Amino acid sequence: MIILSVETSCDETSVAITKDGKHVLSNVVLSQIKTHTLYGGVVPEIASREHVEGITLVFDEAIQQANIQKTDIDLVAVTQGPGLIGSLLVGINAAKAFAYAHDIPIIGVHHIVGHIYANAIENALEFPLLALIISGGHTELIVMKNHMHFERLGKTQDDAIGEAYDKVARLLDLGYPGGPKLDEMAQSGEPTISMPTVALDGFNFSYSGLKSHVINRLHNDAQRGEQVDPKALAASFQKAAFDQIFTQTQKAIDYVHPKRLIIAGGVAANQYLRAQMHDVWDLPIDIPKMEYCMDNAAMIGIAAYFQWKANPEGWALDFNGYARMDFLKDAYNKGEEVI
Amino acid sequence: MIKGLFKLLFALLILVLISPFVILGLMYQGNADDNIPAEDYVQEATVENVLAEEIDLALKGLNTPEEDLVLSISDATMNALIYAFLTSETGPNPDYNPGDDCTSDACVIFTETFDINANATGTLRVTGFWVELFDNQLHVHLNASVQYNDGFTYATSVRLDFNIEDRTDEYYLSFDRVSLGRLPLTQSLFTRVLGWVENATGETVENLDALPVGTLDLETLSVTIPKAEIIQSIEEDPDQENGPLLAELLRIVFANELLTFKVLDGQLDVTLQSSLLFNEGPLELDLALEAVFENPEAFDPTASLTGLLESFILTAALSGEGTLMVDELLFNQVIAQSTAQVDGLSFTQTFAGIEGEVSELSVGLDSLLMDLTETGMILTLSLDINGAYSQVLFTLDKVPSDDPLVLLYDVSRLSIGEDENEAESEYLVLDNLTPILEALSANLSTSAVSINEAQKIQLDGRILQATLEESLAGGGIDLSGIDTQEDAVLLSLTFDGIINDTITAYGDALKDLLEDDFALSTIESVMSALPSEEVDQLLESMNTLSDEITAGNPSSETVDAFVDSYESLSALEKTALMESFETIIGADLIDDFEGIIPE
Repeated sequence: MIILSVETSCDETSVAITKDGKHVLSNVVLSQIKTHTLYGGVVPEIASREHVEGITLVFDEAIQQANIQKTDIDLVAVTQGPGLIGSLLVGINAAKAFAYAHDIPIIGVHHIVGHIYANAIENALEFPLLALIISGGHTELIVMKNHMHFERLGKTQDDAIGEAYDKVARLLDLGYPGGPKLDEMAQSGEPTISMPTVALDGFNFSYSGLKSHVINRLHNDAQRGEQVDPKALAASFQKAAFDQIFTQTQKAIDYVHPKRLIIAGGVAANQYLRAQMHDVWDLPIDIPKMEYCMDNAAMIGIAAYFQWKANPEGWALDFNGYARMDFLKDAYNKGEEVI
Repeated sequence: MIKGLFKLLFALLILVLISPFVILGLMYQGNADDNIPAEDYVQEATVENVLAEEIDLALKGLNTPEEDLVLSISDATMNALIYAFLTSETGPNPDYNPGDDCTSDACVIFTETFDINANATGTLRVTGFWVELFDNQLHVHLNASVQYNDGFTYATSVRLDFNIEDRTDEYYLSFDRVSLGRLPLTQSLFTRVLGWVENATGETVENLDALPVGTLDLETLSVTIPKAEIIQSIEEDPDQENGPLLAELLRIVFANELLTFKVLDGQLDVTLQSSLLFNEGPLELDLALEAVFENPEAFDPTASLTGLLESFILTAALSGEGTLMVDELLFNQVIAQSTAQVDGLSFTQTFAGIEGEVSELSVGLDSLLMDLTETGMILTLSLDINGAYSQVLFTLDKVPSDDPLVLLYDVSRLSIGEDENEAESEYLVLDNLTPILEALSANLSTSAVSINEAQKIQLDGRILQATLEESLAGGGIDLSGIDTQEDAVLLSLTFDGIINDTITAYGDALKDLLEDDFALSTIESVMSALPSEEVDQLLESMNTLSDEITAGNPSSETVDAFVDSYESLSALEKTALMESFETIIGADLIDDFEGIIPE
C-alpha cells in the first residue's frame, strides 16, 4: 500500500511517500528555518505563506524521488492537528485537492500519533509499549496495547517540556530554535544552580514552576546587577527538566512493565536525554532517527497505514484541521476535536 | 825542540791509537738493557686490547658534545704495543720478556750470527726496542750487542730522534740526530755508520722490507707518510670489513683537517674535532613522530590512512580528484616505522681491554626526518654515537624519475653537526659529496630510503602500497604515482573495478543530493535540532559545495572543507547527517560505500 502523506503543522513543509507502513520511499522536507531565524521564532502567518509557496513543489519532488506514478498512490494522509491552524490548513487543503484530483481516499492523522509511529519506520512496534511523548506541545506518557490503541497514563499539568525549553532559551537570548540551542549550551555547563523540586502526582509532569523559577532568577539577578552563568543555568534547568522525565517514566515502567519504551516528539532529539537514557531505564528503548524526530511527513504516512488498517475508510473532504486535538482511542479515529 | 816534537807525535800516535777505543768506549753501554721499559710490557697485551683501552678512555672522556675526542697514546702504551708485536705469533720472539731475571732466550728480541772472517764469527743480539715521546719528538731506542766468537761481547744502544710534523697531505718524520751509546752522531756520520753496518752484515737498508705505509728517504733520513696512502691501505685491507666506509670517513677527516697530532712529554695526543660533528641534543621531533621511533610496532599507519582515504574517496567521488595528499608528518611516521624496524642501520664495536673489560662504540640511527620543501627536501639523519648526537643534513633537490613510484633527489649539500643552535663555524659542510654517498649507498639502505648507483637518494613509494591496501576493505587500491610539495606527499591512487564503480555510484548519488534543494532543505531541517557552530559550518560548506556541483566544477578544496566540517561534528550530529543521507541516497549504496573502508 503506497501512501502520500502531508505534514504542515508548524514550519516544515513535508510530503512523503511510504509503502506498507515501514518503507520510506521519499520524505521531502522544505524547511523554513532560515526565514523564521530572522524573527527569533516561528511567525504563524509567515509559516502559512511559506507553506503555500512550497507545497506543490514538495508534492512533485516527493513523487519524483519515490520514482512512482501518481496512479500508484493508494491513500492520501495529512496531519489534522494539533499545530498552527493556518499551516495545518494549507497542508490539509493541498492534500484534499490532490486526493480529489486523483480520486484517492484521504484521512487525517494526529501529529503526535505520527511521532509515535516514527518508531515503526525501522522496527516493528512490540506491545505493550510505553510511549514517552515530549515536544513543544506535549509531555505525555501513553500506553499502547495494540496499534492505534492509546491510553494516557500521565501528562503535563501546565507547560510542555519543549515549551519550557523555548521560553528559557528566549530569556537567555539564544535565538531560534531555542530548545536545541539551550540543549547545546547545557552540554558545556555544570548543573550547579539549585532548581525547585516539583511535587508531582501520579504519572504527571509540570514545568511551569521550573520555568518560573528560572525567569525569576534571571530577573532578580538582573535587578541586583548580577550575571548568572548561562551555561550553568542551562545545565541546571536541563537536569531538573529531565529528572522529572526520568522519574515519572520509571514509575510508569514499573507500573506497566512494557516490552519497550518508545520516545517521540521533537525533544527526543535532546542530546542529554540520549546520553542518559540507557543508564536510567533498564529496558529496550526505541528512538527514531533524528530526521524522523523532527516534523516530517514520513511518520504521518506510517501512522496512516496502521490507522487505515484499523479503520479502512476514507474521510469526507469536508474535515477540518485543529490547533488542539486529543488522540485518545475511540475519539481520535472519528477525527473529532475532543478537548 | 826535537824532544818536544816527539812528544807531540807520540801524543798524536797515542790519540790515533786510542781514539777508536775512546769512541768504542763512548759507544759502549753495557747497562743499556737496564733502560728497557719492562714495566710497560704487559704479558696479556695484544695490539687490539691495548688500543681498545685507549679508545675506551677516549670515549669515556667524551663527556659533552662540545668536547673533542682525544685519543692519548702514552709512550708506555706505544711500548706495550711494540712488545705485543714483538711477542706475537708472527713476531720475532714470542718468549721475549726482558728484565733482571730474564733467561737468555727471553732477553733477546732476535739473534743473528754472521761471519767476520774465515776464523771468526760474530753474534748480533738485539735486546731492546722501545720508544719515548718528548716535545714534538719521537725517540726510538734499540739495544744491541755483538759477541766475537764466544768471547768478548760489545754492547751498545742506538737512539734515533725524529721530529714529527703533521702536514696538510702527509705525516713527516724527520731525522734529528742519533746517539750511539753516549756518543752523539751527526746525520752524515750516522749515514756512514749505516754503511759500515751494511758492509759488516751484508744487508742494505734499501733491502729492508718497505714500510707498510710511507717512504723512507735515506739521504734525509726521513719518513713521509702520505695521508692518501693511509686511506688507501685501509680501503684495500682485505681483513677490514668496513674498510671502504672507514676509508671514506678518514678521507673526510683528513680533508677537513679534523685530526690533529700533538706530541707532549710522554704522550701523543690525537685529537678528533668531534665537537664539530656533534649537536647539543637529539633531533627535536614532533611528539607523534618521536613515539614511532621509540615504539615503531605500536604505530598503526592503517588507522591514520583510513581516515585520509575516507576524505580522499569522497573527494574523488565528488570532484574526480585522484590525488591523495598525505601530510609530511604521517609520511615521516611511515618512513620512521619502516626504518626503525630495519636491522643493520646501526653497528656496535666492542673493545675488550687487557683485563677483559669490554667497552663499546655504538653508532645508531636515532631518528630520521624529512622536511618537504617546494624544490625537494631537507633530510636529516640523527645519529646516536655513544649517547652523543650528530645530525647529518642532506639538502635534496628533486629530479625527474623514470619510475613514477620513486622519488629521486640530487644531494646538493651535506652538513654534519648543523642545526639552528650551531654557528657556521660549529658544524661541518662537506665539499666533496661523492665519497660519502658512495659509502652510504653500501651501508644505508632500507626499503624506503636508499642511495642508488648514480648517487641519487631515492624514496620508494611502494612501501605505502601494503598500508594502502590494508586501509581499504579487500584492497583494490593501487599507488600509481608519488610526488611531493611543500609539507606534503601526493599519492596518485587508482581503484579496481568494483571499488571504482561503488565510488562512482556513491559520488553520483551524493552529487544529485547536493544539487537538490529539497534534499538540502531536509538535511537543514534535521540538523536544526542539533544547533552548534560545527553544524553551521557543515551546512555552510555543504551549500558551497552544492553551488559548485551545480556549476559543474567542484573543487577539491571545497570537498575537503566539507569533509573537514563533517569530521568536526559530534557523534550524534554525524549520525543525524548520515541518516538523512541514507534516506535520500539509499541505505544500500551507503553500506556499499562504507564497506570499502574498514572500521
